[in-house]
Amino acid sequence: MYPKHHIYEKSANTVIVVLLLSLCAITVYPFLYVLAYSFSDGTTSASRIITFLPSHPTFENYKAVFSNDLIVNAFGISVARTLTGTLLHLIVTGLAAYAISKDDLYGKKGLMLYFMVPMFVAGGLIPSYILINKLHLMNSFWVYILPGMFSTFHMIIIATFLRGLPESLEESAKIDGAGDLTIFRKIVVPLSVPVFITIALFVGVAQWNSWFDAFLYMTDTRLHPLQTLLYKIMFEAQAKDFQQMALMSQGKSNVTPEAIKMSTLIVSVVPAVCVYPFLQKYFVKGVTMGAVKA
Amino acid sequence: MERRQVWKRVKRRKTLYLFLVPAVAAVFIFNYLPMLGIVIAFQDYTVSQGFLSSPFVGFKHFAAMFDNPDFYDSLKNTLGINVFAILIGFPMPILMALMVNELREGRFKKTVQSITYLPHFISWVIIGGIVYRLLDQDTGIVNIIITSVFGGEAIAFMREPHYFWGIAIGSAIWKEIGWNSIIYLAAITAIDQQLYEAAIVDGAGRVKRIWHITLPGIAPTIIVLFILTTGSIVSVNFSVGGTMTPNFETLFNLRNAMVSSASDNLDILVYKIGVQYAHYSYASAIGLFQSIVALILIVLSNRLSKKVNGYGLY
Repeated sequence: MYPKHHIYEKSANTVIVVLLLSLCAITVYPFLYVLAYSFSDGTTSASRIITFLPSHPTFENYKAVFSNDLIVNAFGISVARTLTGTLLHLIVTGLAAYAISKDDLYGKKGLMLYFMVPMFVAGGLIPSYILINKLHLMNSFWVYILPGMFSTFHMIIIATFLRGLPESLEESAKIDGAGDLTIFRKIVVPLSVPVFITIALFVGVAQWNSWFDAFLYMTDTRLHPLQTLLYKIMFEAQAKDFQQMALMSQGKSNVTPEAIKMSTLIVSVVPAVCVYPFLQKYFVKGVTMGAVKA
Repeated sequence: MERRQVWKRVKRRKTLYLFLVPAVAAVFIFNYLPMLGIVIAFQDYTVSQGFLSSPFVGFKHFAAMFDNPDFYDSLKNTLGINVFAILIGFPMPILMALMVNELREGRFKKTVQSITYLPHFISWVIIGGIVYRLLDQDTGIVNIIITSVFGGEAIAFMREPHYFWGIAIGSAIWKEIGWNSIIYLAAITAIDQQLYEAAIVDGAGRVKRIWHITLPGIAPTIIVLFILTTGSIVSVNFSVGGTMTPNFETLFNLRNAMVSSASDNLDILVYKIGVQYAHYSYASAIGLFQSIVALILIVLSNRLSKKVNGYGLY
């Protein structure tokens, strides 16, 4: 009886390990493939089979990408919107969370209701589109920052964390005559670094990845972030940006548009992959926190 | 409470109210104003006349919507893609979490998780680009395998509509399976370990333990996520990310003119009519129809859950 059971358990383990390994392979392989493609000589990548390794490895594609004014500019816009957007979001959402975490705040229930309703009801794309137009945010950098400067969900996560802080520190600061702003800056923020990092990573990744806002609201291509430029390069073969790039790459005979696409793609993935270890450490906690709340 | 007392309490904590001002203003402007904007679904809205003086036309745009063949195609795509995505995709992260949970704590378990979460943090623009490259008819690796390993004919995956649903659903599962499994794994770790010990003493095998302890233990989490997923079928907030079903961004980044008959859902129809053709009122009417269907689906699945399990999301 026992040995049979043992064999059964062991083979079940093997099946599980094999299945999970295949899942990992399926997850990683597309990235490796694109990476290999991005280092391949453009003229041969069309005829030769690329699997894991580049054919005729070359840096030409990346040279073309980094010497392209549009791509470098878009990279800068992406960095700027990610930093500004995350910072403002942390300030606005953090201040609100501090206020809402206080039990003696009069009208707290009403305020919470006010914040919660939009989680379930939304005006939709067109009314928002008209609003952005009316607010003269079209073609302004602030259209990337202002609509996302606050999130009820993040406020709840931060407030939950703040309620767990010891009250004695705040009490003694109050006796010393510190106001709410001083307490928030000097005591609450330093004690809440983990939760603020979690939210910063949430918002930072969302900012880095967003493309649709620029696609909708930005006709000025000089203000397009990398993801939006990438969309245009990938899917609007007729777009002006793309023609420029193709023209530019004609000078270098072995760089093809397809190879440039793949190198641009890698350039826009790399920052996300670099912060990934930090993401992992904090995100998982954040998600679990959110899940418990929900 | 007396008015003066209220005022006194508010005044004592006035800094706190100042702290709330930016958040309250942001929500008012970017969430509540668009809700009021839904009124244009019942108007013939023009930019020059604005919300206040554009003429009211009742349900004219809704009638036009029901006469529009594109609407039925989009509705079919919305429901079809999501029904299949839920049937196939929803159980996947649960299965994955159950498998990962069977592994011993250690490096392999951590590595599997780290690798499978990764695509969640990559934008759909990039995933779209990768999918196009992999499935390219001439040089994509999938077709190279089909032709040189299996000796078949290369398939025009991204040009023929009948492959599109499968590609969209597959991509969404690929991107989100690891991420969704975290939530289930977190729920599994919360289960009382004594239950397992007792079951082992009673001679319950692995499958029995999963069936009688783990699954009932994570049932509440499964139900919450199921209700949220059904709500995202017709997205309430324009693009709900992170669920196992393809959303607006998925379809927008995978579609092209040749497969539009299979790819364009209600979100994309709203975008086309409203943004590309600037028929604001008509597009808002379709958007409103969508929101109402989403709300009905949430209420229905919640009621179903209450009936079957005795509890729901609210």
